[in-house]
Amino acid sequence: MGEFKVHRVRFFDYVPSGVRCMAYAEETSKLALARNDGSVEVLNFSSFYYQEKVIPGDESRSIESICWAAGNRLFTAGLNGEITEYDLEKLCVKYTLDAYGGPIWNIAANACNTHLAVSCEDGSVKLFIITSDHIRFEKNLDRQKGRLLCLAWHPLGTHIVTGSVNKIQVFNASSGHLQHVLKLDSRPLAGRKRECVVWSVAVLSSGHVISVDSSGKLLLWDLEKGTLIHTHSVANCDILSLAVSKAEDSLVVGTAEGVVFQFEHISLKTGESERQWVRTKPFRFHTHDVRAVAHSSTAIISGGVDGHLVIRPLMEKIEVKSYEAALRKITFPHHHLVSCAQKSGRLLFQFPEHLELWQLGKTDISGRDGDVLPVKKKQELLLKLKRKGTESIRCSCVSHCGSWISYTTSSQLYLHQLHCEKDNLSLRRVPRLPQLPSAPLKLLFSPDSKRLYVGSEGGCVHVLELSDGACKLGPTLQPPSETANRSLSSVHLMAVSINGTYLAVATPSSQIDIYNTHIMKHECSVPRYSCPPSALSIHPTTENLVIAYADQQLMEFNINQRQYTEWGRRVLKNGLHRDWLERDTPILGIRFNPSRPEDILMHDNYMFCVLDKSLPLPDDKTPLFNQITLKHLSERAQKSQAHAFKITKKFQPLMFMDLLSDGDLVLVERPISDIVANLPPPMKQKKFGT
Amino acid sequence: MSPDSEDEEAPEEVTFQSAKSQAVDTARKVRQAAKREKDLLKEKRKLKQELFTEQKKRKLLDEDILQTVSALPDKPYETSKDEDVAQDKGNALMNDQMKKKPQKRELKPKIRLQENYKVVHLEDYSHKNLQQQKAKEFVQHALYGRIKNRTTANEFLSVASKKGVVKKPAFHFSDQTWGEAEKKKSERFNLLWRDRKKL
Repeated sequence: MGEFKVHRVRFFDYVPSGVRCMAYAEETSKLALARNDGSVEVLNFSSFYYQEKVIPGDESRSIESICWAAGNRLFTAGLNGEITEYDLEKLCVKYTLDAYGGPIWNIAANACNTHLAVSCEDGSVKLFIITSDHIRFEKNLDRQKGRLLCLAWHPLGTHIVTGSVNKIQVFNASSGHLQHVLKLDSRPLAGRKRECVVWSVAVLSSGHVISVDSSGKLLLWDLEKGTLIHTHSVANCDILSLAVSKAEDSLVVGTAEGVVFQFEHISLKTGESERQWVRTKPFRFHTHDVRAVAHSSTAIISGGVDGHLVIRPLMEKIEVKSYEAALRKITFPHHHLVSCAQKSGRLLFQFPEHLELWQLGKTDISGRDGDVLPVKKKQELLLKLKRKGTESIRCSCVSHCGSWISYTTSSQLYLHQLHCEKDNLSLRRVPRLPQLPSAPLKLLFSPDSKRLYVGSEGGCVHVLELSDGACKLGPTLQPPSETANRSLSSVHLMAVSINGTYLAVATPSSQIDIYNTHIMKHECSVPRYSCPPSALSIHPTTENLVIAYADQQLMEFNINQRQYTEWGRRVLKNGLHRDWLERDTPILGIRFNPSRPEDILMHDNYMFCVLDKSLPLPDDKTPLFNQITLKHLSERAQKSQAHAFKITKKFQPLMFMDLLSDGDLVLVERPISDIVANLPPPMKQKKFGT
Repeated sequence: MSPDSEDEEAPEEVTFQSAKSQAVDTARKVRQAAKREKDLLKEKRKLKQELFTEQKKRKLLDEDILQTVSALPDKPYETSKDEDVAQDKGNALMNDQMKKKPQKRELKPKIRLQENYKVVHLEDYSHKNLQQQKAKEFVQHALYGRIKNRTTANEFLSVASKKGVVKKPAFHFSDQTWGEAEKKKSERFNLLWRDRKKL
């Protein structure tokens, strides 16, 4: 499959931030997810769970709750006491509004999307009216003693139920008066004072209230009478999250031990009309606390402190076998957090709060295939650059020569120049950067390091001309036609050809524009596909644009002839291998091997692939992963059985791949056990025989 | 037996007045004695205290240093230097002040306060921050408090590797950082030994 000297980089200390809360919108099939570091992500379930939008976090904003309202508007509330609405076009905060009730624990919109309710630390529930572009305070409900940790609307909007320590309160939403206080069992156990924290509540249209609490019980209450109907002991640890399906026939709870339980509303005997909630299946996909669950019509979604997002389809609700019928576990972001200076062999790692620049190690020994070469010069941390202010870093980039570093937060662009003189490194921030017309979202240096392309909203790219120690704003590249889908038109991928002639710009609406950067003009557009592109790259010699889409489809586009290439058409006609299409994660990076122009190097989180265009494409009958079996065959058999996809799964989980100027391959791995070692402590579980 | 024996004598007549005055007298004497004793004790303590402070002073500074300090002019050294600088260049002083700014100083009140009271910036203790901190503490306590049965990451991974299909040793079983100095020393010794034996 081609021989490379591989830098197996394992010093990128990436730890995913834990999932704090989630909200699923059935109409748009989008999942909004907030993490502990305050970042917000939107995943589109209809385009193969692709991470469409990422809004970076802010240190001052700790999100506790997230909700969709009025179609496509996203609100969060957090312990800083503010309600935040996001601009999903510009990927930034639209406005924040102080609720004046202290830290906010929960935010929820009613079913008809007219009101938002927030529950606060000071014991008040505040109602806000959703107007067309803002929200307005309406009223307070009867104030309670103590913090209100969770909140739920009645599906008809008549009642609001809140949960606090040892108590559940039922309010009348229209009058704002307290109707019932439901008291939980807080008798001391074994002489120890016990607090029962209600972590989540839900109200069903049948007039039942469901609550989960820190004693590991799921309780079913009557809303009108205020009485306890049923108790389910679920676990010995806290139950932290609860979600009910829209049809109200199934619910999921997430526990501190990492187990997710499903309950179904079914009749115990066939033919009987009376139904009960029955615990059906436990799902153990998490190692740490499950702090957020959501329920779509066909799947249960859970997110935990371990940073995993798990989508488990419910088989009885899926009719056709499709991509959605398999379990998906999303751990790593769908964009690169690493960039590489190919000429100088440096890697730039992006963390939310700082950047790290590393010099790769060296060896002067060569060996046979599979040998582990001893490192002569170890890798070296050259630079640690802390961000300014409280905003997290959105995107970062290092130039090919390794002498420019640029990063952007949600509001500002930073550019630094690196001088390197004989082990003496000095960094200088380029002062007075020109004011950009719109917020920077994606960065890319041209191969000659004389330009910085800044991708922005609306598919446009600002060009910054770099000279020694200074920076000037050049022209803005704009797509010729206004894109149909404004909300998905922010630039999320860019690629530039090695001679710097062409720049390809992609947006999640799968609009891909190609510009000629010599004359700063739009050259052509790639025919639009139904799925967002996940990676793209321009071939150094043939200048073909290779695109990987989120549904694992591959395309090759000839820029000069403005059409798909012959090979690309063959791929489209034959279709790709079934195993290829059913892979877990989208292709994250594409590179080319200068010594073998017919090869395309690709990677996702769990495999590295060399696609040899000169070999025939495999059909569904031949195995896709055949590299190990090929090794044991004779030369002739090897020739007859070889196909285009040469895949290795030796390097896992893979976060980045690039080819250095001297032909060395750089693969950045992040083993899961290293991540687990850096997470908060999990619950202690007794295992037999340990 | 003589009739004038003292035993036979009738008791001396004591008037009520004199008896009373006598009683008052003795009581006063007792009080005075107690007071004197108290005063003496106080004096003793005072002396002791003075001795202690004297000793402390002596420990801190040598006599000659104290003398040189007392011989110096009344104006503190620092300020006079600052003024000189200020006379030379106005900018330098500005820089000095700029440098001093980030250092957090204790705030000094204009009036004397009771003991245990101090002046703080209200900003650091604002209602909002305090509430947020309290809320965060509550969550931390509820999820990771002492009553919760939490394990460590190492233990967790070790159990996982023990229960797995492929049995592996405990995670981070050996602490690589342990005895670094000793390891270096032994390495050097080995080198020397090899050198000496010409191996």
